[in-house]
Amino acid sequence: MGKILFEALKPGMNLAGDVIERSGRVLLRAGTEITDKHLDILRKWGVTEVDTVGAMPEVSPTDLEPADPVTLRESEDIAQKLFRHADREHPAIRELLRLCTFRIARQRSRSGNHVA
Amino acid sequence: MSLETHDLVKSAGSISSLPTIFIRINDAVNNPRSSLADIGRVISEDPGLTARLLRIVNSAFYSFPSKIDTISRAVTIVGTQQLRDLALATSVMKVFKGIPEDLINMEAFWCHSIGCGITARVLASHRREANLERHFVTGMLHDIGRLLLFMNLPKQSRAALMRCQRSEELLYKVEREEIGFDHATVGSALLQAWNLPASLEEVVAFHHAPQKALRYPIETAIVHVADIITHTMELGSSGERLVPHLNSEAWEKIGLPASLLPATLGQVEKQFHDATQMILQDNKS
Repeated sequence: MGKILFEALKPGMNLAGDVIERSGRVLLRAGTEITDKHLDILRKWGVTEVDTVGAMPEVSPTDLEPADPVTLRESEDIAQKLFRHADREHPAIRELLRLCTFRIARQRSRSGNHVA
Repeated sequence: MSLETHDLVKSAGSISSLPTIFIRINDAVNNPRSSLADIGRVISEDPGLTARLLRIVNSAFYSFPSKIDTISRAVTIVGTQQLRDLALATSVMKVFKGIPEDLINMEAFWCHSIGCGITARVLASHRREANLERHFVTGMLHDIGRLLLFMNLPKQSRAALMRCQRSEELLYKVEREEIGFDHATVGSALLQAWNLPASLEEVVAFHHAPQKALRYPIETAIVHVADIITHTMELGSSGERLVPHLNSEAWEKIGLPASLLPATLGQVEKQFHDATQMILQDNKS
Protein backbone atom coordinates (compact mmCIF):
# COMPACT_ATOMS: atom_id res chain seq x y z
CA MET A 1 0.00 0.00 0.00
CA GLY A 2 1.29 3.45 -0.83
CA LYS A 3 0.59 6.87 -2.22
CA ILE A 4 0.86 7.06 -5.98
CA LEU A 5 0.59 9.95 -8.36
CA PHE A 6 -2.60 10.39 -10.34
CA GLU A 7 -0.76 9.73 -13.62
CA ALA A 8 0.18 6.25 -12.41
CA LEU A 9 -3.37 5.33 -11.36
CA LYS A 10 -4.97 2.70 -13.63
CA PRO A 11 -8.44 1.13 -13.87
CA GLY A 12 -8.69 -1.97 -11.70
CA MET A 13 -6.55 -0.61 -8.85
CA ASN A 14 -8.10 -0.46 -5.39
CA LEU A 15 -8.17 2.60 -3.14
CA ALA A 16 -6.63 2.08 0.31
CA GLY A 17 -7.96 5.37 1.70
CA ASP A 18 -10.71 7.89 0.96
CA VAL A 19 -9.90 10.46 -1.71
CA ILE A 20 -10.66 13.79 -0.06
CA GLU A 21 -10.71 16.96 -2.08
CA ARG A 22 -8.97 20.01 -0.57
CA SER A 23 -12.24 21.62 0.46
CA GLY A 24 -13.00 18.50 2.56
CA ARG A 25 -15.44 16.80 0.20
CA VAL A 26 -15.00 13.02 -0.09
CA LEU A 27 -14.76 12.15 -3.78
CA LEU A 28 -14.24 8.38 -3.54
CA ARG A 29 -14.35 5.94 -0.63
CA ALA A 30 -11.61 3.51 0.41
CA GLY A 31 -12.06 0.12 -1.23
CA THR A 32 -13.35 1.55 -4.50
CA GLU A 33 -12.10 -0.27 -7.58
CA ILE A 34 -10.99 2.39 -10.04
CA THR A 35 -12.81 2.66 -13.37
CA ASP A 36 -12.34 5.09 -16.27
CA LYS A 37 -15.21 7.15 -14.92
CA HIS A 38 -13.43 7.54 -11.57
CA LEU A 39 -10.26 8.66 -13.36
CA ASP A 40 -12.31 11.30 -15.11
CA ILE A 41 -13.74 12.56 -11.81
CA LEU A 42 -10.33 12.72 -10.15
CA ARG A 43 -8.87 14.55 -13.14
CA LYS A 44 -11.66 17.15 -13.08
CA TRP A 45 -11.14 17.80 -9.39
CA GLY A 46 -7.41 18.19 -9.85
CA VAL A 47 -6.43 15.29 -7.57
CA THR A 48 -2.68 14.67 -7.83
CA GLU A 49 -2.13 11.67 -5.58
CA VAL A 50 -4.15 8.81 -4.08
CA ASP A 51 -3.60 5.98 -1.62
CA THR A 52 -3.83 2.58 -3.29
CA VAL A 53 -3.60 -1.05 -2.23
CA GLY A 54 -0.42 -2.79 -3.30
CA ALA A 55 1.02 -0.02 -5.44
CA MET A 56 4.59 1.20 -5.26
CA PRO A 57 5.28 4.91 -5.61
CA GLU A 58 6.66 5.72 -9.03
CA VAL A 59 8.00 8.72 -10.86
CA SER A 60 5.57 10.84 -12.74
CA PRO A 61 5.54 9.81 -16.41
CA THR A 62 4.87 13.40 -17.50
CA ASP A 63 8.46 14.23 -16.64
CA LEU A 64 10.13 11.55 -18.71
CA GLU A 65 12.41 13.69 -20.80
CA PRO A 66 14.18 12.77 -23.99
CA ALA A 67 17.21 14.86 -23.00
CA ASP A 68 20.56 13.09 -23.31
CA PRO A 69 22.49 12.25 -20.12
CA VAL A 70 25.19 14.91 -20.69
CA THR A 71 22.66 17.74 -21.09
CA LEU A 72 20.79 16.42 -18.09
CA ARG A 73 23.91 16.37 -15.92
CA GLU A 74 24.94 19.89 -16.99
CA SER A 75 21.41 21.13 -16.36
CA GLU A 76 21.41 19.62 -12.92
CA ASP A 77 24.66 21.42 -12.09
CA ILE A 78 23.11 24.75 -13.08
CA ALA A 79 19.95 23.99 -11.09
CA GLN A 80 21.99 22.97 -8.04
CA LYS A 81 23.74 26.35 -8.14
CA LEU A 82 20.44 28.22 -8.34
CA PHE A 83 19.22 26.27 -5.30
CA ARG A 84 22.41 26.65 -3.26
CA HIS A 85 20.59 28.52 -0.47
CA ALA A 86 17.53 26.28 -0.40
CA ASP A 87 17.08 23.29 1.92
CA ARG A 88 17.54 20.52 -0.62
CA GLU A 89 16.25 17.88 1.80
CA HIS A 90 12.78 19.46 1.85
CA PRO A 91 10.31 17.47 -0.30
CA ALA A 92 8.97 20.59 -2.05
CA ILE A 93 12.45 21.90 -2.81
CA ARG A 94 13.51 18.44 -4.05
CA GLU A 95 10.56 18.44 -6.44
CA LEU A 96 11.25 22.02 -7.60
CA LEU A 97 14.93 21.25 -8.14
CA ARG A 98 13.95 18.28 -10.30
CA LEU A 99 11.47 20.35 -12.32
CA CYS A 100 14.03 23.14 -12.68
CA THR A 101 16.61 20.66 -14.02
CA PHE A 102 14.12 19.40 -16.63
CA ARG A 103 13.21 22.94 -17.67
CA ILE A 104 16.85 23.87 -18.20
CA ALA A 105 17.52 20.62 -20.07
CA ARG A 106 14.51 21.21 -22.31
CA GLN A 107 15.63 24.76 -23.11
CA ARG A 108 19.17 23.63 -23.82
CA SER A 109 18.22 20.77 -26.11
CA ARG A 110 15.78 23.05 -27.91
CA SER A 111 18.35 25.79 -28.52
CA GLY A 112 20.88 23.07 -29.42
CA ASN A 113 18.53 21.87 -32.17
CA HIS A 114 18.30 25.36 -33.60
CA VAL A 115 22.06 25.55 -33.95
CA ALA A 116 22.30 22.15 -35.66
CA MET B 1 8.50 51.52 10.03
CA SER B 2 12.01 52.71 10.82
CA LEU B 3 12.99 56.33 10.33
CA GLU B 4 15.22 55.60 7.34
CA THR B 5 12.58 53.78 5.30
CA HIS B 6 10.09 56.49 6.17
CA ASP B 7 12.44 59.17 4.83
CA LEU B 8 13.16 57.12 1.78
CA VAL B 9 9.48 56.91 0.91
CA LYS B 10 8.90 60.58 1.73
CA SER B 11 11.73 61.72 -0.50
CA ALA B 12 10.49 59.55 -3.31
CA GLY B 13 8.65 62.45 -4.96
CA SER B 14 6.33 61.39 -7.75
CA ILE B 15 6.05 57.80 -6.58
CA SER B 16 5.00 58.70 -3.06
CA SER B 17 1.45 58.72 -4.35
CA LEU B 18 -0.52 56.36 -6.57
CA PRO B 19 -2.08 57.33 -9.91
CA THR B 20 -5.24 59.40 -9.32
CA ILE B 21 -7.35 56.99 -11.34
CA PHE B 22 -6.58 54.16 -8.92
CA ILE B 23 -7.37 56.32 -5.89
CA ARG B 24 -10.73 57.20 -7.43
CA ILE B 25 -11.53 53.55 -8.19
CA ASN B 26 -10.54 52.56 -4.68
CA ASP B 27 -12.73 55.30 -3.18
CA ALA B 28 -15.66 54.19 -5.29
CA VAL B 29 -15.23 50.52 -4.29
CA ASN B 30 -14.94 51.42 -0.61
CA ASN B 31 -17.89 53.78 -0.65
CA PRO B 32 -21.02 51.84 0.40
CA ARG B 33 -23.18 54.37 -1.43
CA SER B 34 -21.65 53.80 -4.85
CA SER B 35 -23.40 51.44 -7.24
CA LEU B 36 -21.80 48.98 -9.66
CA ALA B 37 -22.54 51.46 -12.43
CA ASP B 38 -20.68 54.22 -10.56
CA ILE B 39 -17.59 52.05 -10.25
CA GLY B 40 -17.79 51.09 -13.91
CA ARG B 41 -18.04 54.77 -14.87
CA VAL B 42 -14.89 55.70 -12.92
CA ILE B 43 -12.89 52.93 -14.59
CA SER B 44 -14.19 53.87 -18.04
CA GLU B 45 -12.72 57.35 -17.68
CA ASP B 46 -9.29 55.85 -18.31
CA PRO B 47 -9.34 54.29 -21.79
CA GLY B 48 -5.91 52.63 -21.38
CA LEU B 49 -6.90 50.99 -18.13
CA THR B 50 -10.27 49.98 -19.56
CA ALA B 51 -8.63 48.24 -22.52
CA ARG B 52 -6.13 46.48 -20.27
CA LEU B 53 -8.78 45.23 -17.85
CA LEU B 54 -10.95 43.95 -20.68
CA ARG B 55 -7.98 42.08 -22.15
CA ILE B 56 -7.32 40.46 -18.78
CA VAL B 57 -10.91 39.40 -18.07
CA ASN B 58 -11.15 37.89 -21.55
CA SER B 59 -7.91 35.93 -21.14
CA ALA B 60 -7.07 32.43 -19.94
CA PHE B 61 -7.09 33.90 -16.41
CA TYR B 62 -10.83 33.46 -16.39
CA SER B 63 -11.79 31.54 -19.52
CA PHE B 64 -15.36 32.77 -19.38
CA PRO B 65 -17.52 31.09 -22.02
CA SER B 66 -18.50 34.35 -23.73
CA LYS B 67 -16.71 37.59 -24.48
CA ILE B 68 -16.94 40.44 -21.96
CA ASP B 69 -16.89 43.61 -24.01
CA THR B 70 -17.83 46.35 -21.56
CA ILE B 71 -16.52 47.40 -18.17
CA SER B 72 -20.03 47.34 -16.72
CA ARG B 73 -20.29 43.63 -17.59
CA ALA B 74 -16.80 43.01 -16.20
CA VAL B 75 -17.80 44.69 -12.93
CA THR B 76 -20.84 42.41 -12.64
CA ILE B 77 -19.10 39.18 -13.57
CA VAL B 78 -15.61 39.59 -12.10
CA GLY B 79 -16.55 41.67 -9.04
CA THR B 80 -15.66 45.17 -7.92
CA GLN B 81 -12.90 44.29 -5.45
CA GLN B 82 -11.32 41.95 -7.96
CA LEU B 83 -11.39 44.60 -10.68
CA ARG B 84 -9.95 47.14 -8.24
CA ASP B 85 -7.09 44.75 -7.46
CA LEU B 86 -6.39 44.19 -11.15
CA ALA B 87 -6.43 47.95 -11.70
CA LEU B 88 -3.89 48.37 -8.90
CA ALA B 89 -1.64 45.61 -10.21
CA THR B 90 -1.46 47.18 -13.65
CA SER B 91 -1.39 50.86 -12.74
CA VAL B 92 1.64 50.72 -10.42
CA MET B 93 3.84 50.04 -13.41
CA LYS B 94 3.40 53.58 -14.70
CA VAL B 95 4.74 55.03 -11.46
CA PHE B 96 8.30 53.82 -11.85
CA LYS B 97 10.28 55.54 -14.59
CA GLY B 98 13.89 56.45 -15.10
CA ILE B 99 15.60 53.65 -13.22
CA PRO B 100 19.18 53.12 -14.50
CA GLU B 101 19.17 50.23 -16.98
CA ASP B 102 22.38 48.74 -15.53
CA LEU B 103 20.63 48.18 -12.20
CA ILE B 104 17.51 46.51 -13.51
CA ASN B 105 15.79 45.80 -16.79
CA MET B 106 12.23 47.00 -16.13
CA GLU B 107 10.61 44.48 -18.45
CA ALA B 108 12.43 41.62 -16.69
CA PHE B 109 11.40 43.07 -13.35
CA TRP B 110 7.70 43.15 -14.27
CA CYS B 111 7.97 39.67 -15.78
CA HIS B 112 9.20 38.37 -12.41
CA SER B 113 6.41 40.28 -10.67
CA ILE B 114 3.68 39.05 -13.03
CA GLY B 115 5.11 35.50 -12.78
CA CYS B 116 4.90 35.63 -9.01
CA GLY B 117 1.38 37.09 -9.18
CA ILE B 118 0.18 34.32 -11.48
CA THR B 119 1.82 31.64 -9.33
CA ALA B 120 0.25 33.05 -6.15
CA ARG B 121 -3.09 33.05 -7.94
CA VAL B 122 -2.71 29.42 -9.06
CA LEU B 123 -1.68 28.30 -5.55
CA ALA B 124 -4.67 30.14 -4.08
CA SER B 125 -7.00 28.53 -6.61
CA HIS B 126 -5.78 25.09 -5.51
CA ARG B 127 -6.69 26.10 -1.97
CA ARG B 128 -10.14 27.15 -3.25
CA GLU B 129 -9.59 30.71 -2.01
CA ALA B 130 -12.41 33.15 -2.76
CA ASN B 131 -10.73 36.29 -4.11
CA LEU B 132 -7.89 35.18 -6.37
CA GLU B 133 -7.02 38.70 -7.53
CA ARG B 134 -5.96 39.63 -4.01
CA HIS B 135 -3.18 37.06 -4.36
CA PHE B 136 -2.30 38.17 -7.85
CA VAL B 137 -1.79 41.73 -6.68
CA THR B 138 0.35 40.81 -3.63
CA GLY B 139 2.51 38.61 -5.85
CA MET B 140 2.76 41.42 -8.37
CA LEU B 141 3.84 43.95 -5.71
CA HIS B 142 6.09 41.77 -3.52
CA ASP B 143 9.42 43.18 -4.77
CA ILE B 144 8.27 46.76 -5.38
CA GLY B 145 10.58 48.06 -2.64
CA ARG B 146 13.51 47.15 -4.83
CA LEU B 147 12.46 49.72 -7.43
CA LEU B 148 12.45 52.39 -4.75
CA LEU B 149 15.94 51.31 -3.66
CA PHE B 150 17.21 51.39 -7.25
CA MET B 151 15.71 54.85 -7.79
CA ASN B 152 16.78 56.56 -4.58
CA LEU B 153 19.84 54.64 -3.43
CA PRO B 154 21.44 53.62 -6.74
CA LYS B 155 24.99 53.58 -5.37
CA GLN B 156 24.26 51.24 -2.46
CA SER B 157 21.99 49.10 -4.64
CA ARG B 158 24.76 48.71 -7.22
CA ALA B 159 27.20 47.73 -4.47
CA ALA B 160 24.76 45.11 -3.17
CA LEU B 161 24.17 43.66 -6.65
CA MET B 162 27.88 43.47 -7.40
CA ARG B 163 28.65 41.84 -4.08
CA CYS B 164 26.03 39.16 -4.80
CA GLN B 165 27.54 38.49 -8.18
CA ARG B 166 30.90 37.77 -6.56
CA SER B 167 29.81 36.03 -3.39
CA GLU B 168 26.66 34.16 -4.52
CA GLU B 169 24.83 35.43 -1.42
CA LEU B 170 21.10 36.16 -1.39
CA LEU B 171 20.39 39.78 -2.35
CA TYR B 172 17.86 40.51 0.41
CA LYS B 173 20.40 39.55 3.05
CA VAL B 174 23.12 41.66 1.43
CA GLU B 175 20.71 44.62 1.23
CA ARG B 176 20.35 44.51 5.00
CA GLU B 177 24.12 44.81 5.39
CA GLU B 178 24.89 47.28 2.60
CA ILE B 179 21.82 49.50 2.99
CA GLY B 180 20.60 48.80 6.51
CA PHE B 181 17.21 47.36 5.55
CA ASP B 182 15.88 45.17 2.75
CA HIS B 183 13.48 45.69 -0.16
CA ALA B 184 10.64 43.99 1.72
CA THR B 185 10.68 46.63 4.48
CA VAL B 186 10.87 49.46 1.96
CA GLY B 187 8.09 47.95 -0.14
CA SER B 188 5.69 47.71 2.77
CA ALA B 189 6.50 51.29 3.81
CA LEU B 190 5.63 52.42 0.30
CA LEU B 191 2.32 50.54 0.33
CA GLN B 192 1.54 52.16 3.66
CA ALA B 193 2.26 55.61 2.21
CA TRP B 194 -0.10 54.71 -0.63
CA ASN B 195 -2.83 53.89 1.93
CA LEU B 196 -3.26 50.36 0.63
CA PRO B 197 -4.86 47.66 2.82
CA ALA B 198 -2.82 46.31 5.75
CA SER B 199 -2.99 42.82 4.22
CA LEU B 200 -0.86 43.91 1.25
CA GLU B 201 1.56 45.67 3.53
CA GLU B 202 2.10 42.62 5.75
CA VAL B 203 2.53 40.16 2.88
CA VAL B 204 5.12 42.38 1.19
CA ALA B 205 6.92 43.11 4.49
CA PHE B 206 7.34 39.43 5.37
CA HIS B 207 7.59 37.59 2.07
CA HIS B 208 11.14 36.54 3.05
CA ALA B 209 10.21 35.94 6.73
CA PRO B 210 6.68 34.47 6.61
CA GLN B 211 6.86 33.31 10.24
CA LYS B 212 6.55 36.98 11.26
CA ALA B 213 3.23 37.50 9.50
CA LEU B 214 0.73 37.27 12.34
CA ARG B 215 -2.39 38.72 10.77
CA TYR B 216 -2.19 37.31 7.24
CA PRO B 217 -0.07 34.14 7.55
CA ILE B 218 -1.69 32.25 4.66
CA GLU B 219 -1.50 35.15 2.20
CA THR B 220 2.14 35.70 3.15
CA ALA B 221 2.98 31.99 2.86
CA ILE B 222 1.41 31.89 -0.61
CA VAL B 223 3.55 34.75 -1.93
CA HIS B 224 6.66 33.36 -0.18
CA VAL B 225 6.25 30.04 -2.00
CA ALA B 226 5.12 31.70 -5.25
CA ASP B 227 8.35 33.74 -5.29
CA ILE B 228 10.40 30.54 -4.94
CA ILE B 229 8.47 28.86 -7.76
CA THR B 230 8.96 31.93 -9.97
CA HIS B 231 12.71 31.66 -9.35
CA THR B 232 12.61 27.94 -10.13
CA MET B 233 11.01 28.75 -13.48
CA GLU B 234 13.43 31.67 -14.05
CA LEU B 235 10.61 33.98 -15.13
CA GLY B 236 12.03 37.49 -15.49
CA SER B 237 14.36 38.91 -12.85
CA SER B 238 14.07 41.32 -9.96
CA GLY B 239 17.81 41.52 -9.32
CA GLU B 240 17.96 38.32 -7.26
CA ARG B 241 19.66 35.50 -9.19
CA LEU B 242 19.26 32.63 -6.73
CA VAL B 243 16.30 30.70 -5.34
CA PRO B 244 15.45 32.20 -1.92
CA HIS B 245 15.30 30.12 1.25
CA LEU B 246 12.04 28.16 1.75
CA ASN B 247 10.43 28.45 5.16
CA SER B 248 9.08 24.95 5.84
CA GLU B 249 6.32 26.19 8.15
CA ALA B 250 5.03 28.43 5.38
CA TRP B 251 4.94 25.42 3.07
CA GLU B 252 2.98 23.44 5.68
CA LYS B 253 0.55 26.33 6.12
CA ILE B 254 -0.43 26.33 2.48
CA GLY B 255 -1.29 22.65 2.89
CA LEU B 256 -0.72 21.53 -0.69
CA PRO B 257 1.20 18.32 -1.53
CA ALA B 258 4.56 18.49 -3.33
CA SER B 259 3.02 16.28 -6.01
CA LEU B 260 0.89 19.25 -7.04
CA LEU B 261 3.98 21.21 -8.11
CA PRO B 262 4.36 19.83 -11.66
CA ALA B 263 0.73 20.75 -12.43
CA THR B 264 1.16 24.15 -10.78
CA LEU B 265 4.23 24.97 -12.86
CA GLY B 266 2.37 23.79 -15.94
CA GLN B 267 -0.55 26.12 -15.24
CA VAL B 268 1.75 29.08 -14.61
CA GLU B 269 3.66 28.35 -17.80
CA LYS B 270 0.42 28.35 -19.78
CA GLN B 271 -0.74 31.73 -18.43
CA PHE B 272 2.59 33.53 -18.20
CA HIS B 273 3.17 34.40 -21.84
CA ASP B 274 -0.35 35.76 -22.42
CA ALA B 275 -0.40 37.64 -19.14
CA THR B 276 2.91 39.43 -19.71
CA GLN B 277 1.84 40.30 -23.25
CA MET B 278 -1.45 41.83 -22.19
CA ILE B 279 -0.12 43.64 -19.14
CA LEU B 280 3.12 44.98 -20.63
CA GLN B 281 1.67 45.76 -24.06
CA ASP B 282 0.79 49.42 -23.51
CA ASN B 283 3.52 50.05 -20.99
CA LYS B 284 6.37 49.98 -23.47
CA SER B 285 6.18 53.58 -24.61
